[in-house]
Amino acid sequence: MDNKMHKVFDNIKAEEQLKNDTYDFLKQRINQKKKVSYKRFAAIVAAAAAVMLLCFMPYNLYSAEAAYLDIDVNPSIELGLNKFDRVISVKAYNEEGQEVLDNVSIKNKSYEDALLILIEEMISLGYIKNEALFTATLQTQENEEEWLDALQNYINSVLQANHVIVEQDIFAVDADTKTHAHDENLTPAKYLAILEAQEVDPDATFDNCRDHTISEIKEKTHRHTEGGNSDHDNADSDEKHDESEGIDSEEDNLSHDGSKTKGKHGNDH
Amino acid sequence: MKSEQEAKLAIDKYADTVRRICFVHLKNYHDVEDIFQDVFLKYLLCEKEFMSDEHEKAWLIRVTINACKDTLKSFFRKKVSSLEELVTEPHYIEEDNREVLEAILQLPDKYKTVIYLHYYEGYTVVEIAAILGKNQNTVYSWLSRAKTQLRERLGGEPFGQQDAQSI
Repeated sequence: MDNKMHKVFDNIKAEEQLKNDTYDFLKQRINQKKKVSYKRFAAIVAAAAAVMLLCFMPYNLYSAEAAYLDIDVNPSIELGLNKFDRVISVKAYNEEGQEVLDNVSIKNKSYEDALLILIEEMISLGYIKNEALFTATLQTQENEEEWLDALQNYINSVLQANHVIVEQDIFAVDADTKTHAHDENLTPAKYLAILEAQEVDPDATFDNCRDHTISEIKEKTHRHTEGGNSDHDNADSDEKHDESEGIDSEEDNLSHDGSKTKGKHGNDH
Repeated sequence: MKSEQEAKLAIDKYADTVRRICFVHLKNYHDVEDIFQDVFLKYLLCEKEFMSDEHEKAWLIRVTINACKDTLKSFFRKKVSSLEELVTEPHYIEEDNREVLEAILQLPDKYKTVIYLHYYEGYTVVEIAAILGKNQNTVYSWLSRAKTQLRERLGGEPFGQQDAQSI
């Protein structure tokens, strides 16, 4: 039987045609490979030239931040944008902001896409709801007015598309305000709101106020201005009950779509 | 990448072995052509340093078996059958050996492989296990079941009498 097995397999041999065809195929591949190698060499030279060019440029155009967009609803988030309107850095200024960022991926997206994703995520997590305050601040050296117009229109359209009616406060800040705010680990909008509160209530420190929403801080400032409750520690429980009342009182300053008149806010301190 | 000369030497040296493995697994000649190109191209591009001719041969056997398995597994092949598959390479079948050949070809693929490697190429169970990347006991079981099935198909004719020594 073993002999028969050997005889069976001995008779099986690769056909000459099959061997020749395989050899021709391999020869063709070897020649192709040589041609590809020349192309690859050219590609490597081109890539090296591109790298050299980038090294000698004063800065990398893509990774240089051209504008900072800070959003504060209460999730407080900062987006660093480059010249191409792409998000190149993302930072959360509080736990809520981190929670939102943990759920989304917005790096290298256009700022419109990033805002859409962030706003929808904040809505789904329950941070943006009717009568909340949506604050965005912009810090840039170039085309500030155009940026603000575009931002205001875009944010308004996204919120409307999601059927939420919120007060919007979108304005530009100078570089110093942004730097001071970030030193306190706050968004510029919240930083300015706290500074405003401090004018009427010396107890309104950054640490006392950082966990409150901007609308809560503004409401407290408003009550102090009106000669209302001056006890900061007792304010917490009252603030939430009175929040809607506080927002209503500001409605006179709002345009019909809920957004405030834009302008540049600076730090006078 | 290996040179044209090395590729030609490998084809001359191992084409028959590759062809036999293809014969055991495949029926379609076009598939055999594809396997040849695939296997020898892999050899051409292989950067591996072979320690010996035996090592090189074992590597080619393993690559060929894997390529055959991939071909048999392919979705297209499962769904489409070629008319050529109806022809089972008649020129290899001599009347004397037809019964043995048919019995081998009717075995499941894994049994055909171990039968070929053990009885024709002369590999031991340990070597086959290394080539196929399987447990030695698994290979031993396959070989044992393959022998039983062959014996049954060949009407109880004794098969692989020198096994005890060679395994």
